[in-house]
Amino acid sequence: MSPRTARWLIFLAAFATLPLPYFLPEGEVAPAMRLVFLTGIMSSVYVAEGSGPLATIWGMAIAQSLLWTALLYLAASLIARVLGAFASGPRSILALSLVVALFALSLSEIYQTPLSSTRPRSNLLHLFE
Amino acid sequence: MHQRKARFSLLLLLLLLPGMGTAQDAAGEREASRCRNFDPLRRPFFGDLHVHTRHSLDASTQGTRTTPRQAYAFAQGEALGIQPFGPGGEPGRFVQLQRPLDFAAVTDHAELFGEVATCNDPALPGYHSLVCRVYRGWPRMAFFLMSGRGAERFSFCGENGEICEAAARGPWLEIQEAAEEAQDRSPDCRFSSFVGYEWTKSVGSAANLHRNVIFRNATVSETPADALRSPTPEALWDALDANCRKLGKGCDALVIPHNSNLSAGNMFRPERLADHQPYDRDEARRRAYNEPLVEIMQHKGDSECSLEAGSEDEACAFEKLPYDNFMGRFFTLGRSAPGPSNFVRNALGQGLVMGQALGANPFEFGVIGSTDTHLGTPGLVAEKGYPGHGGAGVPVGEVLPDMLLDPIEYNPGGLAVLWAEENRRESLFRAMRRRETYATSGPRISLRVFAGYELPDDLCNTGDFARRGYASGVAMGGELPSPPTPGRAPALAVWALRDPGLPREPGTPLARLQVVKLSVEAGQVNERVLDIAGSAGQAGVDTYSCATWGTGHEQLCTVWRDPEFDANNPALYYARVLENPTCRWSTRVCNASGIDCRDPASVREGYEACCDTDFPRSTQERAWSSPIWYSPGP
Repeated sequence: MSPRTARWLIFLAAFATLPLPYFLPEGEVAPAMRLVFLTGIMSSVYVAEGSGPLATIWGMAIAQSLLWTALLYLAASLIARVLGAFASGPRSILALSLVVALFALSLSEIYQTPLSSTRPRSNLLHLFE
Repeated sequence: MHQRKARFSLLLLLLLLPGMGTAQDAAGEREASRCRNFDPLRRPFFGDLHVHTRHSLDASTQGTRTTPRQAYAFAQGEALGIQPFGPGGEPGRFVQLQRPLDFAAVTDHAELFGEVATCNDPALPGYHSLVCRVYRGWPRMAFFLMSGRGAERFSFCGENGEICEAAARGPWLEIQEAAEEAQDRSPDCRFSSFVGYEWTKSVGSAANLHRNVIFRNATVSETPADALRSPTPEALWDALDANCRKLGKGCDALVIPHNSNLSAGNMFRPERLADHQPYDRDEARRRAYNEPLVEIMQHKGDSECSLEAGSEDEACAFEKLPYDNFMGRFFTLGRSAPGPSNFVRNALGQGLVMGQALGANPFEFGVIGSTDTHLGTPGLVAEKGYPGHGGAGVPVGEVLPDMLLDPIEYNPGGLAVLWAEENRRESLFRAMRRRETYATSGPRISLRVFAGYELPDDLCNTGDFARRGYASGVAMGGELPSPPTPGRAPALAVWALRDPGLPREPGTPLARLQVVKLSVEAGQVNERVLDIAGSAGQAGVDTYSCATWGTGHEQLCTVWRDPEFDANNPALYYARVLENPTCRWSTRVCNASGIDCRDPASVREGYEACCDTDFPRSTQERAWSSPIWYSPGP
């Protein structure tokens, strides 16, 4: 596995599973993937319905989505750089172990999702309910 | 001939008999004969004038399915299933009042009646719009998107909002019909209902100006005056004049502001909201007429007074929210603590000053309590088993989460108590209009106050408290006349009876009776809080077992004469009665969930707030009377 592949793999795993705090304006602690999904819904409403106070919430969502995506990419790049010091075999094992650990963790109810219609705490499997 | 006359008289008598003894109110609303328990000296009736059902956006997006009819049935003692609902619609929880209420009003948010109805009814145009799809799929997000919309209508409402306005007629009619059906017109007079709605205006960073509109009878405005079309309190009063009072059909309404604690100082600003012009005499009178009552206590805190806002009255430290606007609930950074201008006591004092300057006091209001339930559960005020606020509280979704079901700063709310001759709309509405009302933080404490110059010192022992009180004084909400002789000070006769509770769960004994006096001297408001009966520190509660200890009182009664009365200075007096301390709702939930703050390992996720020392573990339930005012003659 190349360092570049490791970087993307870690970034995508963190994007999909790592719990992060954000406000919309209800506070949630959930993966950036969910934040981006919610931002997408808000963007659709904003585009369809135009301005007003809605713009503030939409702006908050966009800003936080960009911020967390950039920070996750930065963190994945740093980790990939550290892994670059290892040979290809151990690097693959370390990168995959990290990814597996993140996904394993995400199966517990570690996310706070009060904006969800079904449950205020959820795991990866119920993240979009 | 005589026989024919006699027959005719008999026929006439038979025709008139059903109408004899009936009261025909100004609206032409026919009420049955006097209630069996009609009492010319009046009785306290307990109710809830702030209730939301599924027609409110914030309730429906938290899974509330209660209809107005169900809410009224609940108020009368029927069990109600509430969220979370299973896949087949089976409720996950049931709630029921142990003691039915005497009256209630469903007061749904009027602003988005049409939008909520449209998004729930596939037959209505707009049901398939993007916003409605988000409403159904992501209701909590839809709440923020839709309530943050402001005055502008969504595109699915049509060019001028006509689609949503047409859809709004459905819920408004349903609310009226539910109130009509719930009204007990029999001589038993078990229950009264009022048609109402909430006018939901916020300013700045979600600073609350919300007010409930309560109609006198079944004759009401064709559509509610919502904050979209009537965006200021003055516009609301104008709309009530134009679309109700001036129609000459007996329509009348009063407006009850609530949660001044969340208004960021805006609720009692002595100026018009539209143009920020200071109140003049006419505007001050108009406010006092339209808004004769204020809701002092509900789920989202007590608005009486605050130690942080300058009072030295230690009993003000009661059910306080640590923020002064709705955003504070969601953003802890940048929160502002409520300042003095958020509180009822401050407004009452300011009103005295303005009354002196303008000749009219805009803040001459009485008080009530209510719940603001968003589960459609009027009067569900017990600390034990509190199911949560259901609106701006913690969403339940499909599964009851293992956590505190409300922000810890919320509480189970209070009750409105009206001193009236009988449990009929007309009688209750008159009590509200003359401010012969009081608030409780939940318990059914009886509280009665008279003020007068000739009240005998032994009034509590005469067995004739009410008759002599009315004969020689004025009741709560009233105005004292000038002293009959110079230097004569008024006396306050205050009587409180503890909530009797139920045989298996009696009410809590009373601790003490207090008088709060506000007076104006050289333009400055002076505050005095005096214990006039009972005492502090005689009882307490172990918050780990919720066992209470100490002594208290079944009733407290005294006649107190103001030793510092100055006939040249405006003043007001109100009474407050405190119960012995008991466990707060949150402490009961935390204890039942095995949380022991002495053992950090027991504090599970979701229950961290149980051990937040900023919030007390015990509470001291209470009742507040409406004030009695004194103004020096011109």
